[in-house]
Amino acid sequence: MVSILGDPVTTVEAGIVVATLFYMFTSLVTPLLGSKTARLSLYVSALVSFIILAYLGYSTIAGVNYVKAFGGAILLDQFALYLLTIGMMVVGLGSLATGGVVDKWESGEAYYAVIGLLALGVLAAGLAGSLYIAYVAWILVAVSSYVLVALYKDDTSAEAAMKYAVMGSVATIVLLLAVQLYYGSTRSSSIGAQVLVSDKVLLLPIIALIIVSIGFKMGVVPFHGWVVDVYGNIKPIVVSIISAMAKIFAVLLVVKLIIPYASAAPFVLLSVAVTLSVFTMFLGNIGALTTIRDSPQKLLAYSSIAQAGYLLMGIAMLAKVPGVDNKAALAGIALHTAGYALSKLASFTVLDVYCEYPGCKWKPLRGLLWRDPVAASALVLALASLMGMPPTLGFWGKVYIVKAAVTANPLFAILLVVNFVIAAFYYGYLIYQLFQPFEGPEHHAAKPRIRARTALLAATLTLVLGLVPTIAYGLAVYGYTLGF
Amino acid sequence: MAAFVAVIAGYTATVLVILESLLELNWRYKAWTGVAGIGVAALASAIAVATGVHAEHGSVFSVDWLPSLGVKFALRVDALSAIMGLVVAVLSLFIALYSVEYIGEWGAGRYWVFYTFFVSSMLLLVYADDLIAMFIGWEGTGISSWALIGFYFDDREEAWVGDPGRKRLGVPMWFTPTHSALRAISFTRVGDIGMLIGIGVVYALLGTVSISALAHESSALVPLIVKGIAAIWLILFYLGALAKSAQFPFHEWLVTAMTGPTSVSALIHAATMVKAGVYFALRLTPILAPALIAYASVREVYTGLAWLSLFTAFATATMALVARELKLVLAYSTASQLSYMLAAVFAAAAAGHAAEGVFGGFAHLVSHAVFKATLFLVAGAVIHAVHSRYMDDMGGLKKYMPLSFAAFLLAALSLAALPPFSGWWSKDAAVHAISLMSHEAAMFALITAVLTAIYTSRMLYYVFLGEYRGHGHPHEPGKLMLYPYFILGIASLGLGLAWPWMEHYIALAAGLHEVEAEISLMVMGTAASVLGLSTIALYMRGLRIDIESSPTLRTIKDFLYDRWLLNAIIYRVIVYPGKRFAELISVVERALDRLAHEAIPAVGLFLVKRVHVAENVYDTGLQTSMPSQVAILSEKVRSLQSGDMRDYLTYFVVGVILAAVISAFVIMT
Repeated sequence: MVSILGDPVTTVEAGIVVATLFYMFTSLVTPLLGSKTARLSLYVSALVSFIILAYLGYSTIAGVNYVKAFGGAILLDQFALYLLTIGMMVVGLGSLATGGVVDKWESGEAYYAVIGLLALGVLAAGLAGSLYIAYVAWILVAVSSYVLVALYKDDTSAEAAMKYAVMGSVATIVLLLAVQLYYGSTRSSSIGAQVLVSDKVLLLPIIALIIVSIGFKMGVVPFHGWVVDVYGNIKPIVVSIISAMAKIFAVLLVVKLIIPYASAAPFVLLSVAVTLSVFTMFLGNIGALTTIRDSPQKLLAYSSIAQAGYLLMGIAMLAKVPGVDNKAALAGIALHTAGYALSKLASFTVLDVYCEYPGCKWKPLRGLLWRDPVAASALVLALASLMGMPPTLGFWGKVYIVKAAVTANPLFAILLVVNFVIAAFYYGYLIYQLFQPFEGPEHHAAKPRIRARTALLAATLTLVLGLVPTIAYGLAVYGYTLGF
Repeated sequence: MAAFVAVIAGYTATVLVILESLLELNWRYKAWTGVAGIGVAALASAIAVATGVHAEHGSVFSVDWLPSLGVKFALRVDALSAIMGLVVAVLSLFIALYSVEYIGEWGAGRYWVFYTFFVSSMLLLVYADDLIAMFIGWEGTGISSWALIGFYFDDREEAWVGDPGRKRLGVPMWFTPTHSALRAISFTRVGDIGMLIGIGVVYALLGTVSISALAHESSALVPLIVKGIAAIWLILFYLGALAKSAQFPFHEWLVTAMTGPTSVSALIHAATMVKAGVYFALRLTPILAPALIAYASVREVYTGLAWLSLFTAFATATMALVARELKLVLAYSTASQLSYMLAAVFAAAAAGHAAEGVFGGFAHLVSHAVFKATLFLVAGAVIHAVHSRYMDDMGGLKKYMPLSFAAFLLAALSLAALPPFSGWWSKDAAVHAISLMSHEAAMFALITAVLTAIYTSRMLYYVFLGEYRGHGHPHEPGKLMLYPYFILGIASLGLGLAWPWMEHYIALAAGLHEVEAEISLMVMGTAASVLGLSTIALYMRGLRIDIESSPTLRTIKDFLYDRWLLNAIIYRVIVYPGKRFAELISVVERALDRLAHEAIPAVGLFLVKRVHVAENVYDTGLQTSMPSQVAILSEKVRSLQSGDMRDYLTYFVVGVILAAVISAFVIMT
């Protein structure tokens, strides 16, 4: 409770205002000053927000689990803080990586401005204490993602953006319905662990609606149609940031919205989420496996679907059924999302350096280990985390999700492990390609080096943060467990 | 907290150096990153001394590492660990500065990765309040030692130890860096296994591996006495320490470890890592001995260990008398001095005065760390300057390298235990502790002290005095190499002058309230030192005995020169038979291999030919059906991803209905 401003609520409010102002400046003012200024400003905003969030996490709300600010409109807790700090890292590293690349695009300055809005949306989702803020966050993230996808002005991007936007509108409608029912069943606009469900009839469809709308954002089957077309086709550098931020955003929001119902109707949550999770895991992994020869980018797009399945299994285990280890589930979700975000950032960034566009193929990745050891080690580390090699973040995320799944039903854990095994094959195939001899003219590491180096930094973070899984495990003992 | 920072700083530097290597940065970045990491560790260890040295029971820093699996990470700062940590970190810093220039560009990444990893592991070992954490640090030092001994993995000849071509009992007596590295890790591993078993027994009896808990409940070990296995357990428990601290017959690994860069020899094989075994004894003997010493079998173990150490001290000192390589003399001397420390601890424990033993052992550990680091660092500069590791090619270097000579002289006089150098104080403390067991033991230690002084003066004479016998033009090294050892050389004198004030802290670490000194022993110690050193006069006057002309003397010399033939015997008795056993097994293995790869397939082929039909079905399945099934599956997956928005929206609606149906179904039932 030690803080320079004395009152923790004031500290939190001041911090949020400062972070918002920085991002607003980045998004609204700096595009007028050119792409370099916009990039720099975005980088500073990410850094400032990171510092503010880290400060809040380690001093202001350490020990109290959560703080409500702005009359309850904002709810800041340890779980959200962990994922938000990771999100700010992603924004910072993402803007660092694109220097000298996106700057040369026709609308480079817009790229940074829109990422600023995206970051603000994710921030709002993590901080949301009321339905209104959550809905604003959704719109900010949705619109800015469509714009980002369309930003590299060509046919592929335009088509992908269109599909993303149309499906997004359907999901928005579903969310709107969920929000209305939420209000109806709780008679309150606050969200979070302390909300009590008063109306037993209205709550019945709501779990399905929340999972459908946010499942769309995560890439849950069968709301996944857009994922392969967007992640698999457009410029990988755009995917690197969107795929990471979308997952963080979806997890932050779904956990906040679903918690009251996890105790009010635990078996509904368990059944719906587990069913969809199993579909998602299998379709993602089998999709990646059967289209393995097409393109590494498509493979990673399918793997994003599979990873959403693992996360949904974790979310299912939040159901307050006696005996189910909810704490482990929450820790698993946090660690897995963090690992996913950093490793997708790293792997798509490397693809952006070496794949032709459009139509990313295998050939340029062969023998990468000798031509560009920096990029290759980034890719290997990132894939190791996605695969779940100890001691990366991906490993701990999977360990805790499996740990939670075992307590619900050993069959769930077996399904998870079967999917990990399938996935290990295609991730291994990707790594194997890096060791293959390179056919074609001798060429050296691509310049500028900043993308490969940033990718390595992001991938290394999955390893370094994996050495202290405790931090995330500690998050599980926070406010949400009060709701149970 | 300071201890935690000290431990983590070096590991952080390790990670950074790896990153810098991957980013292909200039070697100077790696070197200075390493130095900076160790600098932070040194600073933190100094803070730990300031805060921890007076704390009554020490302060414990403990974090839950993996709470879900019940693993803790506990560090303890008390007088003993604080001072030890300071010695380790500060010496590491000096030697790191020296290494920047000494190692230079070739292999810089590897060197600094393992150097920083070593320093952190050593600090972890020192501060650990948990036998498992200590063991992790212990093995960390072992693995980095292996990597650094084999640093010159191209086996360049100037890094060898021993005379190429020389054989005894048919065993080659020269060692390449890669060979030595493997020797080091195998020799010490034998002891580590014993130690691990010992830790397992502690856990079985106490249900914990915390050192603090062991200190409080040491009486829980008494059942070992009842079962009659206390002696075996003690020996196993100390075996890791004996191997690490180069006690007979494990001292062999330390001797050939001199194939590493000299900076590594200085830090790891003289000042710090080999002290890990001594530290283990210092840390645990005052816990174990008082609880168990009342039993005769335990007393016998301690007495036996003390005599083993005294014997090692004597044996290695005799080897140092005839060695031709400068680093080898220092290596023998290191093994010999380590034995003094352990002898002090074990002898005093056997006599029931564990604290006195810790005082003597720890005092000698601190002073030896400083002067031996100096000697090695100067040796590195000298070998570099004359391009030879043999003392035959040195001599008269006083003229060319006066500052190095000054540093070497100060440290050498400390090694020879001449008053008022630090070695004099600490060796007297050690001999006093040994004398508590018996006067014969003390006399034996004093005889070794005479030998120590003799080989010191021989080394001094052959390297720095007389006429220069080498080729080339020796000169002082650069400032970055010269300053660290010059400062350390002065420190070994300064430490001696300040000893009466310093003594208090060592006593605090030993848990001793009052330091006793025995005047008669001090007089005899001084006499031993002067007697040994006086042999330098014989060299100066040119009075030498021609050993080669007398068959008896020559045999004795060869016996000492070939390390009492111990290496040859170990190779003859263990290594070569082991190799033959492995060859035998490989014959069996080849037979099994042929069985698996030829006989069984032949049978299988025979059977397959018999069941053509089955084979055809299998073949069709493998070659045609399965790929076509996969192709169909792949086609299905692709067709799902048609790219048509309407399809996607249909899936979406199906999903909503599915979710609704499941919800409704759950509610109904």
